Amino acid sequence: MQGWLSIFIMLIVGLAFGGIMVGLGVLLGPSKPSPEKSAPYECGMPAVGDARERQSVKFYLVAMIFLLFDIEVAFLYPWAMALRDLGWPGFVQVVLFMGLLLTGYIYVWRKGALDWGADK
Amino acid sequence: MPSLNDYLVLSALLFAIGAGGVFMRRNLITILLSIEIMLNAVNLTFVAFGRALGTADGQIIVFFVMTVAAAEAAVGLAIVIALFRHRESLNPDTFKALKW
Amino acid sequence: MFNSLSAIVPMACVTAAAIAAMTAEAFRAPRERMPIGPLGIVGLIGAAISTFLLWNRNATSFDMVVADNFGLFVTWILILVGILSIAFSSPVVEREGLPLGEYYALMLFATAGMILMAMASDLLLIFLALEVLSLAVYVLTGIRRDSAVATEAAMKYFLLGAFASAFFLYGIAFTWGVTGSTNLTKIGAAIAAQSMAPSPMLLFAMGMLFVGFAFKVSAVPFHMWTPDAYEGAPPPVTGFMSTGVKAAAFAAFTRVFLAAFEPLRGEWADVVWAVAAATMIVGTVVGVSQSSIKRMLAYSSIAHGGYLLVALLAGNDLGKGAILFYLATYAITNLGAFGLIGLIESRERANDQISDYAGLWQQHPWLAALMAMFLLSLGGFPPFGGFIAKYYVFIAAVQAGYTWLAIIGVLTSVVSVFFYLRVIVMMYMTPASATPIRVPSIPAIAAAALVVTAVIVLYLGVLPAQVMDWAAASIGTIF
Repeated sequence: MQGWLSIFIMLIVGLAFGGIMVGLGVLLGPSKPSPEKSAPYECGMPAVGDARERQSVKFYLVAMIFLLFDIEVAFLYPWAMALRDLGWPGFVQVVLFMGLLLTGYIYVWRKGALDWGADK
Repeated sequence: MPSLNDYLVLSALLFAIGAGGVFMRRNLITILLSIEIMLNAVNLTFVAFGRALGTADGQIIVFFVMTVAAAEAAVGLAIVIALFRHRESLNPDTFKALKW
Repeated sequence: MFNSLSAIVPMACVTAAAIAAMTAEAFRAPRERMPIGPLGIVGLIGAAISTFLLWNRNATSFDMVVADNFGLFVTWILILVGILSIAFSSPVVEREGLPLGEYYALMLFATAGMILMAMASDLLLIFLALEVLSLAVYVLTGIRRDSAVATEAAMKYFLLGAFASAFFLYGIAFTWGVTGSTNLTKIGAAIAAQSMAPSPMLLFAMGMLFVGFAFKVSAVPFHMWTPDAYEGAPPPVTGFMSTGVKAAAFAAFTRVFLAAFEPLRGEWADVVWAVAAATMIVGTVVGVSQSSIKRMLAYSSIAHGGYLLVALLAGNDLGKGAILFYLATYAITNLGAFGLIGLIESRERANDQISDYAGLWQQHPWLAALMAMFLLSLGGFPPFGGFIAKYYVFIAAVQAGYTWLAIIGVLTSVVSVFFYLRVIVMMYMTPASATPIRVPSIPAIAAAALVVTAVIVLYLGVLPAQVMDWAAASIGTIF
């Protein structure tokens, strides 16, 4: 239980700090609401349309491709850690692995999955 | 210091939450997320056992599971998109072309 | 390290062909025709030759892939399944306008995964192989993207498949945690050492692994996806997944349960007994009421999974040999049937109702005769392979003391004959409907595949001794 005390204090302090700051703002600050100020974001352009708009399906495609390549690259970390132990055989395997990924990348590219334009 | 059993119980709970989600949720994306929760529960099991056995194997296995999960998610999302084009809905109850 | 690579040569051949197919597709002009299917067949033949050279050598790679005779025998079945599927696919791919390279590349990747699964001697590798083949097959199921039915089928297959593989993985995690290894031999040794009092955790792990396998071989109660996926996929894909996936999954199933978990036989035998009986009964009884020929064959393939489980449960030498022989016979016969359905389908009409087959005999006597032959073999009629396969399975079950299971098997076989015969009666004795099936000219490659399947089905039925000897020799290497 001893170890949790500091976390508990941290939690109290954090909550209290947030509460006090918001409270001071409400109490001391002048309040003159206007439509512009009530907009979700006070800076930049006024919002156009609904935020729950449909995304282009391209978005999902790129997201999926990113997900795959991103995760595959995670294999490089353990290899880098064991680089010296694995030696040349390990290097050959990683090059083969990257070569396979590259084939996939070429495929995705040639198939036009990465084209992000309205020209098609 | 939590023991191996604590981790196993936690991962079993996560696994059960994921499995329950697959049956109870009515949105395909949420069902996919539930399956991911199940896989991550298994990952936690692997890491916990690896720690208890004193090897790093558990964490290496987790790498493989993560990549498999990513590939699975990509295929799943692709099928969801293809399906959405036909049905304009993500509720599995609207898919009635085949009898269950 | 490099001299120990021989065991992975067969799947390397198939993978190389798959990657070549993918690259070819990437550089293919939209309507350009490329011989990608033949390319795949070349790769598979390369794999077949390397498999032949590896016979009796017991090569091992990375302590994870073992090219023992058992794995090689299943690999042969899988390569044959791959070649025949590609041959049967060519008219369908053409007719439906499916993406040529993607289709064959996925089929080859799935085959590579299956071969890996048949040869893997490590639970983790079995999982990875399972995923490789499953992901490819999910996509193949839904490859007709313009069809709502196909996409829906793919979704159902995917959701239940991913769900089941999570269970399988959970089982691996616990097996590893309890025994400290994912290697099947070491797991077996570790379990044997503590077999007096198996820990609850180990039993839990075994149950989870069983659920994963049962799903993949579509055993009752994990069969729900089967009819939908089989109906939605293009027929050659259905043939491919009803045979290849089942063969690969049964190979791994056999390895895991008859090699690693053999010491716990007392714990799993009753469960497998019940599942096998339920699978045979449900597959047969529900199959009787189907009006779509694809769904009917789907339930028939569920029932066949039950017979394979009987052989697995028997687990004696005859039973193990019977698993391999049954897999070979069932794979070839079912592929032939689905290949033929693929030829009969047309772009305008699915032609997948049993009533569509009325009077096929008058229109296309050869196709009707071949279909009748495949169906009779599936039903277990004497001059064809299916009869011998079932005979071995039931003899093995009786020898191992599972007489009741054998009786259930014989009874369900008799009932199943009813629904196979229904199609044959429809083809031969019912007058053709107003718009009979018109099959356009059959491409040479598909016709050749049909002839080859028919010859093998007959050969396995008339002269089974040679293949059975090989099968018996194969199982000696691991158990």
